[in-house]
Amino acid sequence: MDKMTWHDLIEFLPILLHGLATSLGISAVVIVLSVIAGVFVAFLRTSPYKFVRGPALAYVEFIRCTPALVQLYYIFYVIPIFGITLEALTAGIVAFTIIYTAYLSEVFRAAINSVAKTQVEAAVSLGMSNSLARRLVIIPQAARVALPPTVNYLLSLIKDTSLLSIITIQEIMFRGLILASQTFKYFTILTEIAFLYFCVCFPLTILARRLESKFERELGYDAGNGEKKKSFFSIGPWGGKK
Amino acid sequence: MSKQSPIINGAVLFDQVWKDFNGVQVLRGIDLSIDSGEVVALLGQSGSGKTTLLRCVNGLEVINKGSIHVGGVAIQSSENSKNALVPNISQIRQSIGIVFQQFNLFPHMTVMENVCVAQTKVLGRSSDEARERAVLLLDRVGLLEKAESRPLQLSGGQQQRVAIARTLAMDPRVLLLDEVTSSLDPQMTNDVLRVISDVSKDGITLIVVTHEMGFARHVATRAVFMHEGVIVEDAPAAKLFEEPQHEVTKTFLSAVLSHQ
Repeated sequence: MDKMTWHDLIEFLPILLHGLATSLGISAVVIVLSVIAGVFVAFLRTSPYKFVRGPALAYVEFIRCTPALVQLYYIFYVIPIFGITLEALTAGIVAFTIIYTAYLSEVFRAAINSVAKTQVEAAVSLGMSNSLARRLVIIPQAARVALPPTVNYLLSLIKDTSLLSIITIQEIMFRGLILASQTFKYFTILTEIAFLYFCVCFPLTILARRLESKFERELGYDAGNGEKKKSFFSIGPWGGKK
Repeated sequence: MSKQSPIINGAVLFDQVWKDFNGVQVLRGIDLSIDSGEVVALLGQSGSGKTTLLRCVNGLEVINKGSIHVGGVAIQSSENSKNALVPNISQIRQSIGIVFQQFNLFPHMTVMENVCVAQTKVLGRSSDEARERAVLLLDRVGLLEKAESRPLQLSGGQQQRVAIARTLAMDPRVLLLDEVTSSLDPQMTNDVLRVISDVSKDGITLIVVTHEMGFARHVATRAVFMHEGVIVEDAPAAKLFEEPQHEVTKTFLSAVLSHQ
C-alpha cells in the first residue's frame, strides 16, 4: 500500500478538482434537462388517454428496471452500430438525461397525486377553472412535495457520473484512475476522490433534510384532524420530526 | 378575466333530481324549491343523501337525472348531452360558496392570500381592493391578527372561520355549509356557529347540512328532513322540531336531541 502524504494529496488535488468540475458541470446540465422533461413525462403519465399513458409508462419502467451502466454502454457502444455516433460527452449527457427523466417523472407524478382532491374541489368551488386550479393550487403544492426527493436524486446523479469514466469522459474518476495507474498510489488517490465526493454530497443531504422539514411544517399535516398526512416525508431516519 | 356570474339571486330549485354512486341510489327524485334569502337546514341520518344534495348545487357532484337551477340559471340538467353540468360552471360557481367539513384551505398560502386569491384571479379585483375586502371579512370572523399566518398554524375553528371569510369574499348569492362544525370541539364549534348566525342575516341563501340541532333550530327558517334519498318532511324549522309529522323524523329527532 502506498503511503498517504500531504505532498501527494496536494499534488493530485488540482487534477482531481478539474475532474470534479466536469462531473458537476455534467450533473448540472442533466438535472436541468431531466426536471423539464420529467415534468412533461409526469403529465403524460397522468393523461386520460391510454395511447399517451402507455408509452410513457413503458419508458419509465424500462429505464427503472435496467442498470444505468448497461444503458450507458448501450448508448455509447450499441447505438453507433445503427449509424448514430455520439461524442462521449454528448452520449453521457443523453444517457443520464434519459435515466433521470424517468426517475424524476415518478417523483413528480407522485407529488401531483399527493395534492388532495379536496384542494381541487376547494379551488373550483371558488370559480377557478381547472387550469387555474392547476397553476395556483396543485403545482405550488406538488413542487414543495417534489423538491426534497429531487435534491436526493441530484445527489445520486452526482455520484452516478463516476460511471462516465468507462466511456472516457474525463471526470474525476477517470482522471483519478489514470493518475493511479501512472503512480500506483491507489490508496491516496481513491481516498481523495471519495473525500471530494463526500464534500459535495454531504451538504446536499443536509439541504434535502432541511427542505423536507420545512415543507413538512407547511403542508405535512392533514388540515382537518391535525394528524400527520402519510407521505414519504414521514419515512426514513429523518422523518417524523416534530 | 373571466366573465361575471349570470346568477342574479339566490333561489335554488331542484326538479326530480336523481343521483347514484355505482348503482347505489343516493338521491331518488328530489323536488325542492328554496327562495332567495332562505336559511334552510338539511337534516337526516348519515347516508340519507343530504351532503350529496348539497354538493350537487355547485356541481361538485353530477346528477344522473333531473335538473338544478340557481338564480334562474340551470346548473345541471340531464337534458344536456354528454354531461349534465353546464359548460360555464366555473363562472356560476363564483356566486355559490361552499364551506367544507375539512376546511380545505390552501396550505401553501397565508390566511390573507387564501382570502384574496380567487378575488383577484377569478373576479379580477385589484389586489388593493381584494385586500381591503379581506381585512373587513377577517375582522368580521375575528381573525384579522392571523392574516399573515399559515392555515396549519391555526386551530380547526380558526381555519373554518378563515374558510368562511374566503367564501364570503366572493359575494356569493348562495352559501352551502357542509357539516362545518363536525370536526371541531365544542368551544370552536360555538365560535364558528356565531359567525354563521351572523352571516345568516346578510340575505344570502344558506343551505346548511348539520348535526347541531340547537343551531339548526335557532338559525334556520326552514328545515328539510331527508331519509334514504328522499325528502320526508319539509317545514318551518320551529314546526319541524316541535311537531314532527313522520315516524322517521320523530325517531331521528328524539335520538339526536337526547344526546344534546
